[in-house]
Amino acid sequence: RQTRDRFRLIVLGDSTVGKSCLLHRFTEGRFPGPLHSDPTVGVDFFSRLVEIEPGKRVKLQLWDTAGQERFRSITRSYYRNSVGGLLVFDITNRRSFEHVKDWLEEAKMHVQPFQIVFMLVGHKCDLVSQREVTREEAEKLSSDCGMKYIETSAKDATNVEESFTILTRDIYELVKNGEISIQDGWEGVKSGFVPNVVHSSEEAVKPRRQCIC
Amino acid sequence: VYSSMAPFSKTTLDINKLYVSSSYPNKIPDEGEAASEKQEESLPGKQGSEVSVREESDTDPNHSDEAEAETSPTKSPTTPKSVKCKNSSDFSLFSYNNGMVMTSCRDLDSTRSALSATSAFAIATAGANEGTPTKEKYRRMSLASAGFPTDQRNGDKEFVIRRAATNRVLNVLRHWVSKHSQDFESNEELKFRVIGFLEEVIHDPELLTQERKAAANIIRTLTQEDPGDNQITLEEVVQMAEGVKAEPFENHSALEIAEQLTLLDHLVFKKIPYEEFFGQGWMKLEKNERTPYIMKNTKHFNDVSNLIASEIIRNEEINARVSAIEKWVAVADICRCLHNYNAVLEITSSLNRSAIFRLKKTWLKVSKQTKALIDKLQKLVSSEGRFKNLREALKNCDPPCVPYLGMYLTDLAFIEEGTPNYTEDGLVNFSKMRMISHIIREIRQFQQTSYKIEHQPKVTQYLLDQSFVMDEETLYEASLRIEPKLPS
Repeated sequence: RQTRDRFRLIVLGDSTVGKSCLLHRFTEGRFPGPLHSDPTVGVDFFSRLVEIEPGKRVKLQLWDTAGQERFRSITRSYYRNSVGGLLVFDITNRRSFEHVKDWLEEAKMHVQPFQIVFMLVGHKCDLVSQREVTREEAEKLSSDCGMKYIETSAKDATNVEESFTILTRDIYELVKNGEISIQDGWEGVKSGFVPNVVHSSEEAVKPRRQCIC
Repeated sequence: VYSSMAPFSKTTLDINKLYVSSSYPNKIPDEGEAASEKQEESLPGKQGSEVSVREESDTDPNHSDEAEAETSPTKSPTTPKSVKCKNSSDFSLFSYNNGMVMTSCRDLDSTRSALSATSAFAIATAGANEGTPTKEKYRRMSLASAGFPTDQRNGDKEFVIRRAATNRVLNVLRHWVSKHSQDFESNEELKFRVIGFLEEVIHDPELLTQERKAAANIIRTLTQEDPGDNQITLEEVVQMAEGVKAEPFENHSALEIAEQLTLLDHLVFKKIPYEEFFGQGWMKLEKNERTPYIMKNTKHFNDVSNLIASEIIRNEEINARVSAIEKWVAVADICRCLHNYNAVLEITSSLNRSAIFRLKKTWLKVSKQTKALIDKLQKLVSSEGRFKNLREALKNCDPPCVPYLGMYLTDLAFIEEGTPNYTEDGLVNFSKMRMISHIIREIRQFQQTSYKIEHQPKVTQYLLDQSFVMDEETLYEASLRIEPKLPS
């Protein structure tokens, strides 16, 4: 009972929307300060515990593909091994909003055969005067795509905590109800409660990875 | 007093310089130290007396012009005629960047004390070898040079300082020439100026034997033909592939493909100039202008990855797909032996793409050994633990090698975003700069050693052939066509 559920999340969006700032804000103090560490040893993801209900904590692994975005075939494999993601745009940058659908399409294509739960995040909401995307438009898009919407600001920490917590809670419910199943060879969800992995019956004839295409 | 050895009367350590990469290779000083050194050398009566380390360089320009004209019959042909000491603040030959310190005379930073050339070198080299220069160090260094009145004729001290200065200058040059040869390959004028300067130095009768030897060694390094220069260039390879009907995949052995892919990957990788690694230019909107070679590298990676996926998918027949997969995995394993980790990722990531990954029937027919090999290769290049296995492999491997560039780009992104450029005291965060230089140095180490693989045009033609390569969506559609989705 000591082990916890672990979810792997990704953060997607155009390169200037502030994904890294959002991650830094959320994991503040947990990122091994590069000032004090050897750059060659570190972590590949940020990691943080989130309490989704009293006494129930989930460990989040947050993947950051920072710097590698251009290596498309690499970043694509990150999608498949994530159970959820924040789809971030910048409310002061209309283009980044228009690209949300592209990101979603791309992610959906590449997570197959697994599923991924997304949440739409309108970032930099502290810059109200420069807003180029209204809350209504964003809410419409998110409900059309079956996502929740939240507006955040890493600068003043608005809703940063909430965005991750809400997404985590939703994923937790889906896992609990069996709508998301934990599978061998998939890094999206690792459970600390279910005795490790749910194996399918025809284990012997499976390809090297479980594939439900 | 004409011995104005210091062409840079002021130095400044400016972090922004680290990002303004274009500033130095083009800005060749009008007249470098060659002129002032020679001038000093030819002055009568200065022997053992002139303080070569001086802060003032505002000697009357006319006067020095005269002195130069009269007294330097041995003038090197590469040295321009006029000497204008007043322009000394424009000399930027030693806007030397070892990845940590830029000493520049162009930008004067009022908060920094004026330092002589020697002090600047001392600081630059001290920074490289001994850790962050402290305030105390700055103070000591400026005292060392400032403590000499111009008319004091103290031979011993003069001798010691002169040796120290010569030593430092030669050390900086040696380091620059050996570790950053790219600078000289891309800039002939800079190269000839440095050679010219060193030739002047060698003719200084006061020079100690080992100093002369050291200077001659640097010249030798500069003038010797780079063995890598005989190698075929990327442009030549690409040119030979243009308009040629490439032979199909089946016509090339796995070994040939692995070798030629490695040759190609390294040619693309080694072309990236180090300036492109500063300031995360590849993530900016102007990425194509700021980091064209990083962009070429990622494009090449994606092209090869698409080629591999297309080569598998284009086979309508399942056994042909299976053998294509098995052959590419064999190529990947040879690439691993060749230390081409970039290609290992090009291949394993292709197999991981949805279009290939979902081919359940095909994977069922792939041999156990191949699957085990895929697992092994994937573990090697996995991003898990921040590429800990790949880092371990890189640490233990002797060049030539093609590392995966994305790993370094992520490192740089982490460092750039997670660490401030200035400390709380408003000082340049040398710790950060050193981390950046550490990464760039590692990249360069792998860039510098080329493969001795003979170019086989028929194979590279195939690898560069994009005529049958499908884009992501076409690949996925084709994948659905050859193995339709089962109702779940």
